[in-house]
Amino acid sequence: MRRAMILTLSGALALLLTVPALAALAPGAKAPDFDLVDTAGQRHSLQKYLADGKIVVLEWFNPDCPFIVKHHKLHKTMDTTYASVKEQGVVWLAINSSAAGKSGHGVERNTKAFEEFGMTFPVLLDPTGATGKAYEARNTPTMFVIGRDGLVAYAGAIDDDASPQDLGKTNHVAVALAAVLAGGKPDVTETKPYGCSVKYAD
Amino acid sequence: MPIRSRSSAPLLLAALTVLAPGCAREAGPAPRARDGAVEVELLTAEKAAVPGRILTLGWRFRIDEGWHLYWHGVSDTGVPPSVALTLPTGWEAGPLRWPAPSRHVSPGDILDHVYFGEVVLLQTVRVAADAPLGGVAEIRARLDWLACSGNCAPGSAVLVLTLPVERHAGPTPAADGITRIFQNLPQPLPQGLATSAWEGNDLTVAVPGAGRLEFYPLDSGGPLLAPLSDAAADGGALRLRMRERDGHVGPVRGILYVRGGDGVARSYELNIPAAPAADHPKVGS
Repeated sequence: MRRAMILTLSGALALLLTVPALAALAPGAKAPDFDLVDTAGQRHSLQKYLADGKIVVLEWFNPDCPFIVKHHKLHKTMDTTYASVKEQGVVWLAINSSAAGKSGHGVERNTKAFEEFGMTFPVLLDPTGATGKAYEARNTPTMFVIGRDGLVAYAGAIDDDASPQDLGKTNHVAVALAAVLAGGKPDVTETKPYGCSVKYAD
Repeated sequence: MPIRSRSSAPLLLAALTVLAPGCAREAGPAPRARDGAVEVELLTAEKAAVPGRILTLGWRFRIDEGWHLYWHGVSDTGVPPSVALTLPTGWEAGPLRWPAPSRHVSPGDILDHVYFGEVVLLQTVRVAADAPLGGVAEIRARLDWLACSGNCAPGSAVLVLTLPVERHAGPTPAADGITRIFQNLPQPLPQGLATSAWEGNDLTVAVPGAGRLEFYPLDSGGPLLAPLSDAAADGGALRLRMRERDGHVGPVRGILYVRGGDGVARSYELNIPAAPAADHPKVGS
């Protein structure tokens, strides 16, 4: 509980310091820390990844959302994008903020999805929604690219086609990662995410 | 929208006539289809297509209880339904017309603008002036939508309507309903109903005597800082805090929902030009 309050507070402070976002925590904000457990029981701490010099991609995830199915099953957008950068010090984490009783919640459902989708990166569970709310994630998927400096370098959609089946022409995350990996800043730092609502507790 | 080339038109019409000989003089039943939680139906206000005249279409979505569809303006989540229309050569479709949506707030400060129960999107089509009298015309549409409740499900359907092409067209049984839906579309804001004023980056919209106001933004060109708290309030005034973008604030475009002191709700098109440059100091200066 204490951790949740700190997370929310750091999110609020970051907001005060930056231009309000289109629909999620804005680029330039300090990425709120988290320490979450994945479906296999492994802990993942943002602070630790940053201390190891990693670039971190966050993907808000719900296996029962058609837009997640689009990018994990119809197309392998997330895994292929990750595959193209994982040797360069990039960590990719899916985070599921579905509350108990809501669609896509729980270890069992997400373990099954992990196998069904053939995922190559972990699914972290955030059933209290504290991390999701700290990032102001409203859609699955919402994407964040966090630079080695711990600041949000990109926030928004994975691509530029909001349909539940078609791939966009531009993969915003791949473009942002290329810029960050080259030591620069992305030209496009923020887009409007699209997808299902994150299923927070009532 | 698929466009058929002019050169193939006579062949195509001939083929349609052969394919649908029984329909030559009578419009078929309104085409309808269901996919998941949504049933779609194509309504027309006229019994026949008249060369050079307007045909009025209504795309009716009947939505199961507990589910919703999305409006075409700004929402945090979801996508609006789409209609991809295939018309005979020379026919021209107008834009979809969208009834005012409802505000829908979900846990996590998620604000969407949606339709519950039923919505009819309206669209007018101008029949080609040289559409051959006595023939049959086919209107074909692919509809796609996203319906959400506790979860979301995409749906789609293909609807095909055949209509006789005649010199005159009487109204269908759906015509009165379509007229009412047209009348309930957001109307141009009547002169004198509302006032608006910029103060820095804040826009105040006032409708004296109103019981409740809501604003549904049409595009993110002039984004609201806090739509959840700012864009709906009891009483006769809304103060919309706006985000500056590219050195200017606004314009503000959307639907203003007004529930009058008499309890009657109406919706209007709100189009406020960008704030005058001098009125909003740059952020940080």
